[in-house]
Amino acid sequence: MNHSTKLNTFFVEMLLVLLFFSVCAAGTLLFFGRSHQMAEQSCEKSRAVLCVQNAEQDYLTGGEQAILREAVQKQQRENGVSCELWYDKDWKLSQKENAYHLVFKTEHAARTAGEYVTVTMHVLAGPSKETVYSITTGKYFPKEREAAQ
Amino acid sequence: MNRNKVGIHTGISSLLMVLVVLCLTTFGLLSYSSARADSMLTEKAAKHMEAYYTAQTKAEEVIASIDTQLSKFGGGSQQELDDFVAGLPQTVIGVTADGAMLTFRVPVDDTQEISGIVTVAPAESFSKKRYTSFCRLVSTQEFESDTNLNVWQG
Repeated sequence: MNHSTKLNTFFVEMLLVLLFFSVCAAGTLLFFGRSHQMAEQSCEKSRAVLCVQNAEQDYLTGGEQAILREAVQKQQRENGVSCELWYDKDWKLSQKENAYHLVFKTEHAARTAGEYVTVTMHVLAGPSKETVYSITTGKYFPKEREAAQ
Repeated sequence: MNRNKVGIHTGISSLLMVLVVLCLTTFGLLSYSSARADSMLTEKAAKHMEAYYTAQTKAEEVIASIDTQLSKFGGGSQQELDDFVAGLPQTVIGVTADGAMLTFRVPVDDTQEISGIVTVAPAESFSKKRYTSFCRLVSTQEFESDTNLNVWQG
Protein backbone atom coordinates (compact mmCIF):
# COMPACT_ATOMS: atom_id res chain seq x y z
CA MET A 1 0.00 0.00 0.00
CA ASN A 2 1.57 3.27 -0.98
CA HIS A 3 1.51 6.44 1.09
CA SER A 4 -1.32 8.22 -0.73
CA THR A 5 -3.66 5.21 -0.34
CA LYS A 6 -2.86 5.13 3.41
CA LEU A 7 -3.59 8.84 3.66
CA ASN A 8 -6.89 8.37 1.86
CA THR A 9 -7.89 5.55 4.21
CA PHE A 10 -7.02 7.73 7.19
CA PHE A 11 -9.10 10.63 5.91
CA VAL A 12 -12.05 8.37 5.16
CA GLU A 13 -11.80 6.95 8.67
CA MET A 14 -11.53 10.43 10.17
CA LEU A 15 -14.59 11.49 8.23
CA LEU A 16 -16.59 8.49 9.43
CA VAL A 17 -15.36 9.00 12.99
CA LEU A 18 -16.32 12.67 12.92
CA LEU A 19 -19.72 11.82 11.48
CA PHE A 20 -20.41 9.18 14.10
CA PHE A 21 -19.04 11.38 16.88
CA SER A 22 -21.23 14.31 15.89
CA VAL A 23 -24.33 12.06 15.92
CA CYS A 24 -23.40 10.69 19.38
CA ALA A 25 -22.49 14.14 20.69
CA ALA A 26 -25.82 15.52 19.52
CA GLY A 27 -27.65 12.75 21.39
CA THR A 28 -25.58 13.25 24.53
CA LEU A 29 -26.04 17.00 24.39
CA LEU A 30 -29.78 16.43 24.35
CA PHE A 31 -29.36 14.42 27.55
CA PHE A 32 -27.30 17.20 29.13
CA GLY A 33 -29.81 19.79 27.99
CA ARG A 34 -32.73 17.83 29.40
CA SER A 35 -30.85 17.32 32.69
CA HIS A 36 -30.15 21.02 32.95
CA GLN A 37 -33.78 21.84 32.23
CA MET A 38 -34.98 19.36 34.88
CA ALA A 39 -32.53 20.77 37.44
CA GLU A 40 -33.72 24.31 36.68
CA GLN A 41 -37.37 23.30 36.98
CA SER A 42 -36.89 21.48 40.28
CA CYS A 43 -34.91 24.42 41.68
CA GLU A 44 -37.67 26.79 40.54
CA LYS A 45 -40.33 24.61 42.15
CA SER A 46 -38.42 24.34 45.44
CA ARG A 47 -38.07 28.11 45.56
CA ALA A 48 -41.74 28.53 44.67
CA VAL A 49 -42.76 26.21 47.55
CA LEU A 50 -40.59 28.26 49.93
CA CYS A 51 -42.04 31.48 48.58
CA VAL A 52 -45.61 30.23 49.12
CA GLN A 53 -44.75 29.01 52.64
CA ASN A 54 -43.22 32.37 53.50
CA ALA A 55 -46.21 34.21 52.14
CA GLU A 56 -48.63 32.01 54.07
CA GLN A 57 -46.72 32.35 57.32
CA ASP A 58 -46.32 36.05 56.83
CA TYR A 59 -49.92 36.77 55.98
CA LEU A 60 -51.89 34.37 58.15
CA THR A 61 -49.75 33.99 61.22
CA GLY A 62 -47.96 37.35 61.17
CA GLY A 63 -44.36 36.43 60.50
CA GLU A 64 -41.36 38.63 61.10
CA GLN A 65 -41.15 39.89 57.53
CA ALA A 66 -43.88 42.47 57.61
CA ILE A 67 -42.91 43.68 54.11
CA LEU A 68 -45.10 41.09 52.41
CA ARG A 69 -48.06 41.66 54.70
CA GLU A 70 -47.82 45.41 54.18
CA ALA A 71 -47.47 44.97 50.42
CA VAL A 72 -50.50 42.67 50.31
CA GLN A 73 -52.58 45.01 52.45
CA LYS A 74 -51.56 48.02 50.33
CA GLN A 75 -52.48 46.24 47.10
CA GLN A 76 -55.68 44.90 48.65
CA ARG A 77 -56.71 48.43 49.47
CA GLU A 78 -55.99 49.43 45.88
CA ASN A 79 -57.20 46.38 43.94
CA GLY A 80 -59.65 44.62 46.20
CA VAL A 81 -58.97 41.12 47.43
CA SER A 82 -56.34 39.96 44.98
CA CYS A 83 -52.80 41.24 44.66
CA GLU A 84 -49.57 40.40 42.87
CA LEU A 85 -46.06 40.44 44.20
CA TRP A 86 -43.07 40.34 41.87
CA TYR A 87 -39.83 38.50 42.46
CA ASP A 88 -36.60 38.70 40.50
CA LYS A 89 -34.70 35.63 39.25
CA ASP A 90 -33.03 35.32 42.68
CA TRP A 91 -36.44 35.32 44.37
CA LYS A 92 -36.04 38.72 45.96
CA LEU A 93 -39.07 41.01 46.18
CA SER A 94 -39.16 43.40 43.27
CA GLN A 95 -41.12 46.62 42.84
CA LYS A 96 -41.76 46.14 39.13
CA GLU A 97 -42.60 43.27 36.77
CA ASN A 98 -39.92 40.61 36.93
CA ALA A 99 -39.12 36.90 36.49
CA TYR A 100 -41.68 35.46 38.90
CA HIS A 101 -44.85 36.66 40.45
CA LEU A 102 -47.04 35.54 43.27
CA VAL A 103 -50.76 35.98 42.84
CA PHE A 104 -52.35 36.23 46.25
CA LYS A 105 -56.13 35.96 46.56
CA THR A 106 -58.05 36.10 49.82
CA GLU A 107 -61.67 35.31 50.50
CA HIS A 108 -63.26 36.32 53.77
CA ALA A 109 -66.30 34.31 54.85
CA ALA A 110 -68.26 35.29 57.91
CA ARG A 111 -69.07 32.45 60.30
CA THR A 112 -71.40 32.43 63.27
CA ALA A 113 -68.64 33.06 65.74
CA GLY A 114 -65.82 34.45 63.62
CA GLU A 115 -64.35 34.81 60.16
CA TYR A 116 -62.78 32.21 57.90
CA VAL A 117 -60.09 33.46 55.54
CA THR A 118 -59.24 31.34 52.51
CA VAL A 119 -55.96 32.21 50.84
CA THR A 120 -55.10 31.00 47.33
CA MET A 121 -51.56 31.51 46.12
CA HIS A 122 -50.18 30.91 42.64
CA VAL A 123 -46.55 31.30 41.69
CA LEU A 124 -46.23 32.09 37.98
CA ALA A 125 -43.04 32.21 35.97
CA GLY A 126 -41.92 34.25 33.02
CA PRO A 127 -43.90 36.29 30.54
CA SER A 128 -45.93 33.19 29.60
CA LYS A 129 -47.22 33.14 33.21
CA GLU A 130 -46.81 29.42 33.52
CA THR A 131 -47.95 28.14 36.93
CA VAL A 132 -45.01 26.78 38.92
CA TYR A 133 -46.84 26.02 42.14
CA SER A 134 -50.18 26.82 43.66
CA ILE A 135 -51.76 26.18 47.00
CA THR A 136 -54.97 26.93 48.87
CA THR A 137 -55.11 27.24 52.61
CA GLY A 138 -57.32 28.78 55.24
CA LYS A 139 -57.37 30.14 58.73
CA TYR A 140 -60.14 30.79 61.17
CA PHE A 141 -60.18 34.00 63.18
CA PRO A 142 -62.65 33.91 66.09
CA LYS A 143 -64.54 37.01 67.10
CA GLU A 144 -64.28 38.44 70.55
CA ARG A 145 -67.43 37.07 72.14
CA GLU A 146 -69.78 39.03 74.30
CA ALA A 147 -71.28 37.43 77.38
CA ALA A 148 -74.32 35.34 76.49
CA GLN A 149 -77.59 36.35 78.00
CA MET B 1 12.56 3.88 5.86
CA ASN B 2 11.98 6.70 8.33
CA ARG B 3 8.83 7.65 6.50
CA ASN B 4 7.36 4.19 7.08
CA LYS B 5 8.00 4.45 10.84
CA VAL B 6 6.24 7.81 11.22
CA GLY B 7 3.36 6.69 8.97
CA ILE B 8 -0.32 7.37 9.75
CA HIS B 9 -1.85 4.56 11.80
CA THR B 10 -5.45 3.92 10.89
CA GLY B 11 -7.74 2.88 13.76
CA ILE B 12 -6.32 5.16 16.47
CA SER B 13 -8.96 7.83 15.84
CA SER B 14 -11.74 5.21 15.98
CA LEU B 15 -10.48 3.98 19.33
CA LEU B 16 -10.25 7.52 20.67
CA MET B 17 -13.72 8.26 19.42
CA VAL B 18 -15.16 5.17 21.10
CA LEU B 19 -13.52 6.22 24.37
CA VAL B 20 -14.81 9.79 24.15
CA VAL B 21 -18.34 8.68 23.22
CA LEU B 22 -18.36 6.22 26.13
CA CYS B 23 -17.27 8.95 28.52
CA LEU B 24 -19.84 11.39 27.18
CA THR B 25 -22.64 8.82 27.41
CA THR B 26 -21.68 7.87 30.98
CA PHE B 27 -21.55 11.48 32.17
CA GLY B 28 -24.75 12.29 30.32
CA LEU B 29 -26.59 9.39 31.93
CA LEU B 30 -25.21 10.22 35.38
CA SER B 31 -26.22 13.84 35.05
CA TYR B 32 -29.69 12.88 33.81
CA SER B 33 -30.29 10.36 36.62
CA SER B 34 -29.12 12.88 39.21
CA ALA B 35 -31.38 15.61 37.82
CA ARG B 36 -34.30 13.16 37.64
CA ALA B 37 -33.83 12.07 41.27
CA ASP B 38 -33.66 15.71 42.32
CA SER B 39 -36.79 16.51 40.36
CA MET B 40 -38.68 13.57 41.89
CA LEU B 41 -37.65 14.64 45.39
CA THR B 42 -38.82 18.19 44.74
CA GLU B 43 -42.11 16.88 43.36
CA LYS B 44 -42.57 14.70 46.44
CA ALA B 45 -41.84 17.60 48.79
CA ALA B 46 -44.25 19.85 46.90
CA LYS B 47 -47.00 17.19 47.03
CA HIS B 48 -46.42 16.72 50.76
CA MET B 49 -46.68 20.44 51.27
CA GLU B 50 -49.98 20.46 49.36
CA ALA B 51 -51.28 17.60 51.51
CA TYR B 52 -50.17 19.41 54.65
CA TYR B 53 -51.95 22.62 53.69
CA THR B 54 -55.10 20.69 52.75
CA ALA B 55 -55.05 19.00 56.17
CA GLN B 56 -54.35 22.30 57.91
CA THR B 57 -57.31 23.88 56.13
CA LYS B 58 -59.50 20.99 57.35
CA ALA B 59 -58.14 21.43 60.89
CA GLU B 60 -59.05 25.13 60.78
CA GLU B 61 -62.54 24.14 59.58
CA VAL B 62 -62.83 21.83 62.59
CA ILE B 63 -61.78 24.66 64.92
CA ALA B 64 -64.34 26.93 63.25
CA SER B 65 -67.06 24.29 63.79
CA ILE B 66 -66.06 23.85 67.43
CA ASP B 67 -66.13 27.60 67.92
CA THR B 68 -69.58 27.79 66.33
CA GLN B 69 -70.80 25.08 68.73
CA LEU B 70 -69.16 26.86 71.65
CA SER B 71 -70.89 30.10 70.78
CA LYS B 72 -74.23 28.27 71.04
CA PHE B 73 -73.25 26.58 74.27
CA GLY B 74 -74.31 29.04 76.90
CA GLY B 75 -74.76 27.11 80.09
CA GLY B 76 -73.42 24.13 81.93
CA SER B 77 -76.38 21.73 82.11
CA GLN B 78 -75.90 18.11 81.03
CA GLN B 79 -78.46 18.47 78.23
CA GLU B 80 -76.61 21.44 76.78
CA LEU B 81 -73.32 19.60 77.06
CA ASP B 82 -74.83 16.60 75.24
CA ASP B 83 -76.16 18.87 72.49
CA PHE B 84 -72.77 20.53 72.25
CA VAL B 85 -70.99 17.16 71.89
CA ALA B 86 -73.57 15.92 69.36
CA GLY B 87 -73.05 19.01 67.22
CA LEU B 88 -69.29 18.59 66.98
CA PRO B 89 -67.75 17.50 63.68
CA GLN B 90 -66.90 13.81 63.28
CA THR B 91 -63.19 14.48 63.20
CA VAL B 92 -63.36 15.30 66.91
CA ILE B 93 -62.31 12.04 68.52
CA GLY B 94 -62.16 12.91 72.18
CA VAL B 95 -64.12 15.14 74.53
CA THR B 96 -63.51 15.26 78.26
CA ALA B 97 -66.48 14.71 80.59
CA ASP B 98 -67.00 18.44 81.20
CA GLY B 99 -66.33 19.35 77.57
CA ALA B 100 -63.29 21.41 78.58
CA MET B 101 -60.83 19.68 76.27
CA LEU B 102 -61.47 18.44 72.74
CA THR B 103 -59.04 16.52 70.60
CA PHE B 104 -59.20 15.92 66.88
CA ARG B 105 -57.08 14.39 64.16
CA VAL B 106 -56.82 15.21 60.48
CA PRO B 107 -54.74 12.84 58.33
CA VAL B 108 -52.07 14.42 56.10
CA ASP B 109 -50.85 11.25 54.39
CA ASP B 110 -50.14 7.62 55.30
CA THR B 111 -47.46 8.56 57.78
CA GLN B 112 -48.48 11.89 59.28
CA GLU B 113 -51.51 13.61 60.74
CA ILE B 114 -52.41 16.90 62.32
CA SER B 115 -53.29 16.45 65.95
CA GLY B 116 -55.33 19.29 67.41
CA ILE B 117 -56.33 20.14 70.96
CA VAL B 118 -58.93 22.75 71.82
CA THR B 119 -58.94 23.75 75.47
CA VAL B 120 -62.05 25.57 76.61
CA ALA B 121 -61.56 27.92 79.49
CA PRO B 122 -64.87 28.94 81.00
CA ALA B 123 -64.97 32.52 82.20
CA GLU B 124 -66.25 33.57 85.56
CA SER B 125 -69.98 33.23 84.84
CA PHE B 126 -69.60 30.21 82.53
CA SER B 127 -71.48 32.18 79.95
CA LYS B 128 -68.52 33.53 78.02
CA LYS B 129 -66.49 30.66 76.66
CA ARG B 130 -62.95 31.23 75.53
CA TYR B 131 -60.67 28.65 74.07
CA THR B 132 -57.14 28.04 72.95
CA SER B 133 -56.34 25.77 70.05
CA PHE B 134 -53.10 23.96 69.40
CA CYS B 135 -52.27 21.95 66.30
CA ARG B 136 -49.15 19.96 65.60
CA LEU B 137 -47.91 17.57 62.98
CA VAL B 138 -47.39 14.07 64.36
CA SER B 139 -46.26 10.76 62.93
CA THR B 140 -48.82 7.98 62.74
CA GLN B 141 -46.20 5.28 62.61
CA GLU B 142 -44.79 3.95 65.82
CA PHE B 143 -41.10 4.35 66.24
CA GLU B 144 -39.36 1.05 66.79
CA SER B 145 -35.92 1.47 68.20
CA ASP B 146 -33.38 -1.18 67.38
CA THR B 147 -32.13 -2.46 70.73
CA ASN B 148 -30.11 -5.32 69.32
CA LEU B 149 -26.44 -4.70 69.79
CA ASN B 150 -24.63 -6.91 67.41
CA VAL B 151 -21.43 -7.18 69.44
CA TRP B 152 -19.07 -9.98 70.07
CA GLN B 153 -20.20 -11.95 73.09
CA GLY B 154 -16.81 -13.40 73.80
